[in-house]
Amino acid sequence: MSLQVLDALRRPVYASGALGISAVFGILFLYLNQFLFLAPYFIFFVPSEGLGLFALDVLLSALSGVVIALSVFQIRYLPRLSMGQARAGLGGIVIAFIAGACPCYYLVPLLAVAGGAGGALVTVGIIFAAYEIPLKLLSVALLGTVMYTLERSLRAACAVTPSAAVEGASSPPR
Amino acid sequence: MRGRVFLVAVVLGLALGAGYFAFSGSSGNGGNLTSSPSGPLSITSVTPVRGAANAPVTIFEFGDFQCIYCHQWFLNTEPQIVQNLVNTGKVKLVWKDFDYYGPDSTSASEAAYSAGEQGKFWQFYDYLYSHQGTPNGDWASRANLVSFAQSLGLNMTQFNLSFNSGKYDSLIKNNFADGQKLGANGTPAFVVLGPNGKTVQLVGAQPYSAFEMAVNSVAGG
Repeated sequence: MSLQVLDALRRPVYASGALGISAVFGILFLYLNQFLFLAPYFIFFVPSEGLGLFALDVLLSALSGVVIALSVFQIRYLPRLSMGQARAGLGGIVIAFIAGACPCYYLVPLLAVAGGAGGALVTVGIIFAAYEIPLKLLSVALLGTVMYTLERSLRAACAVTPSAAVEGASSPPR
Repeated sequence: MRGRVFLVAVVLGLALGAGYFAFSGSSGNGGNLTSSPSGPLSITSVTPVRGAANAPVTIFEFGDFQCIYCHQWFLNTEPQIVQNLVNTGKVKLVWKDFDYYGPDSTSASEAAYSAGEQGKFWQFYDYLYSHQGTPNGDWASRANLVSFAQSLGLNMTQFNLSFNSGKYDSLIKNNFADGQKLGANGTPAFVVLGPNGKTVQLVGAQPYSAFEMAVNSVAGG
């Protein structure tokens, strides 16, 4: 039994979309976590103690790309996308970004210099920094849940039932 | 349907915004610091220096003892720099604190400078990074810093007198201002200064290979 999400990704447009989005997310995550340096020399470097975080970044990038591409596919072919599912997907991506960006070594001092509200944001940033890995794991769980619900909704949509025929529901072309 | 389109637009906007933020201007780990070999890069009698005073190349490190990436650099890059460049007389390493994580960062710097009065700045520096905990998680509280000093066998009367005097307040403020003048907007940030005043700036916990290239670049020029 093949997975519907994989079937959707066999379409070149969605496959390349997922790949492109994953690449953008991946470059951002690797840059923010200082695995990728652009100046003065272009260097890719993963220290041994950073392997776990690196793997999480790669997984999150891939999941984000696939979830966004599949969400677009579902919006395109299945107008009954649950907003709850969409929000969960967006939530996972936002959390991944926050977890990746808040420990940003350059964001915190800029806010520190700003003082006032900036000082409070520094504290928030430091807390996120301390819990970066759990937050990213939460993002993976959220994105995984969204993938599962996408698979279920695609499978349900593809099952031709008399009621669906009566309602004239559209099925994604296979 | 409009809501869904909006959702996708928000996600794409977020990605593009983050990309712009990460790669624009002086922000980010590849950002440029403004070169300024005088003033901010001066070395005074209290500036901690590791290596031979007459080493032709100087690496200035702007760091915060609570900074996670400074700790990464300490673990992964600094040992190779010390072994291959400092111990061979090619480079001297200079510390400038750039404390922004909070009061514990400032206290840690004060304690390190106080240890420096007894010739143990770098031992204290190594000890702090080796025992780094969660930022502002009390690991660098004043009480803990005193116990670190005891562990290193410092003269505690002298240490406490210096540590509680506030004598390094202005130095710490000046170092932060120096970092800002150089355009540093995070830690760790480095300026590699060659014998002829040529500089290369590196931002972030970059690997040894980046420093080796930077040192060769300024040493030759």
